[in-house]
Amino acid sequence: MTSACFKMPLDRSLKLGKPVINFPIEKVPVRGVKIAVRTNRRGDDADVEGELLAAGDGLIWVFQNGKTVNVPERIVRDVELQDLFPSGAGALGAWTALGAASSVSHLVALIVTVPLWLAVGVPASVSAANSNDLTVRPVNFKMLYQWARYPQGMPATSIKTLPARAPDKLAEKKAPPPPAQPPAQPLPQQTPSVKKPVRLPAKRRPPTPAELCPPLPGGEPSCGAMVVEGERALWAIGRASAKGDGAAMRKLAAMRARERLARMLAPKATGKQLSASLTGAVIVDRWRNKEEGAYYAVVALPLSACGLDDETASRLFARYSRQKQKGDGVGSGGQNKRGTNKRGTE
Amino acid sequence: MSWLRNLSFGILGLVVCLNSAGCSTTLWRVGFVKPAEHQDIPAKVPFLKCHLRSGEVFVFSNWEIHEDSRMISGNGLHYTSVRRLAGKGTFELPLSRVVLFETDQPESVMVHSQYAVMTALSVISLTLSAVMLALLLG
Repeated sequence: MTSACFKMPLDRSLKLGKPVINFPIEKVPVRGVKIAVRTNRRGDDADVEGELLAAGDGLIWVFQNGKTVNVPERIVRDVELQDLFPSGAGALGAWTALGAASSVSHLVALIVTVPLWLAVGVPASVSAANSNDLTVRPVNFKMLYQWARYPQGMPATSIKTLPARAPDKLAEKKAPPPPAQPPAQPLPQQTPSVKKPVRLPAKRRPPTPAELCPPLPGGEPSCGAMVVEGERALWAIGRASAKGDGAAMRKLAAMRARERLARMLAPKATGKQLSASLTGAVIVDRWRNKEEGAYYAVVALPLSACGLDDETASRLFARYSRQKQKGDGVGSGGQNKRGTNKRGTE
Repeated sequence: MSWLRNLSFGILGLVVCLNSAGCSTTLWRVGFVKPAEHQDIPAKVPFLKCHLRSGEVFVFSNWEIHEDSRMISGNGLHYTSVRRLAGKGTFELPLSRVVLFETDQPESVMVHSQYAVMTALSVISLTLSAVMLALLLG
């Protein structure tokens, strides 16, 4: 009975049954199957469970508890594809229980029928529970991509972790040099261990002017310095393109412009320091680009309003002025190289 | 005893219906075609997925490949790389953006033979119940 169960083939191109017509497109699966990767490691973290993202190039990528992890194929014992279809084990269990209970109506014959129900129903439920899984051995790992969310391979933008360091190379480095004579007792076989994927720490540094003022979609600069009626001022454009009502988008654009302006003044500042530096900033222009569906706001800050002295102001102007053309050089790099640049004023 | 016969047939019919509904499920027959071999995409498959390098995927229920402009257009759904629904409707994208085509055919499969055994057992059990009931009622 149990041997006649349907077993899902690993090759997904094989014909399975009768084609279903008029299937709703919304129900077409776009995710990978649930898998359990069993490795040769020992300990609680030996197995990796989650959605199969991609497989190939010697790595199996799994989405586990909100994180993308990878496991080198060569340390994987086997991979179990789980819940490929509804097992029906629960229904069979309930069916068995109901059938055994209804044997009361068989009067004396229940001596035979209750054991019969249990003898048939329990193995049927157990076999159903196991029939919707598929175990894949290393020799068939090349077929795993068919079950992945990204059968084309892991997209570069989705790789948030580095590949795990090769465990056997690590073991080779730490292993003591081989003895001159073979030992009397054979050494216990070392099980290769897997290092957890290393996550690069985010580097905290102030944004560069180029990062702070990226060009707008039209190629125009998004911030800069200008002189209006003899008054020096810094300006910045904010853009809001999310869907929403106009007033909220205008406000959002102005807020982004103010934020950009504050960063121009104090790239390293955080929180309250940022907002404090914007006293005296005014919105000088607003418009809506219907083609882009975006709102823009220009905020300007007269330098006299924020109490900057001439020297600091000129430094700010130099940082954001875009007078240099491509190929003009970047400033003091050559002087630094030659050692002719002097620091400070002694 | 005609009521007993009708009852038995009724119960038998119910069990067979439950059995056939419970043991068939929809599974997916999947094929993969490289963009360079897009002529090999079977015309009869109901769904075509276009996997992009970025991880996004377009699922088309009907589509057309324009050889001259090297474009594919069709009706369907657009999912982001994290499989969030990004759009629904008619899409057109260049073939150069597609890194893999996937054909999807839903198929109805009888997956549980255990249901047949349980059905047979149920029929025997119900018949026995009916016979006992008939004996009791005379």
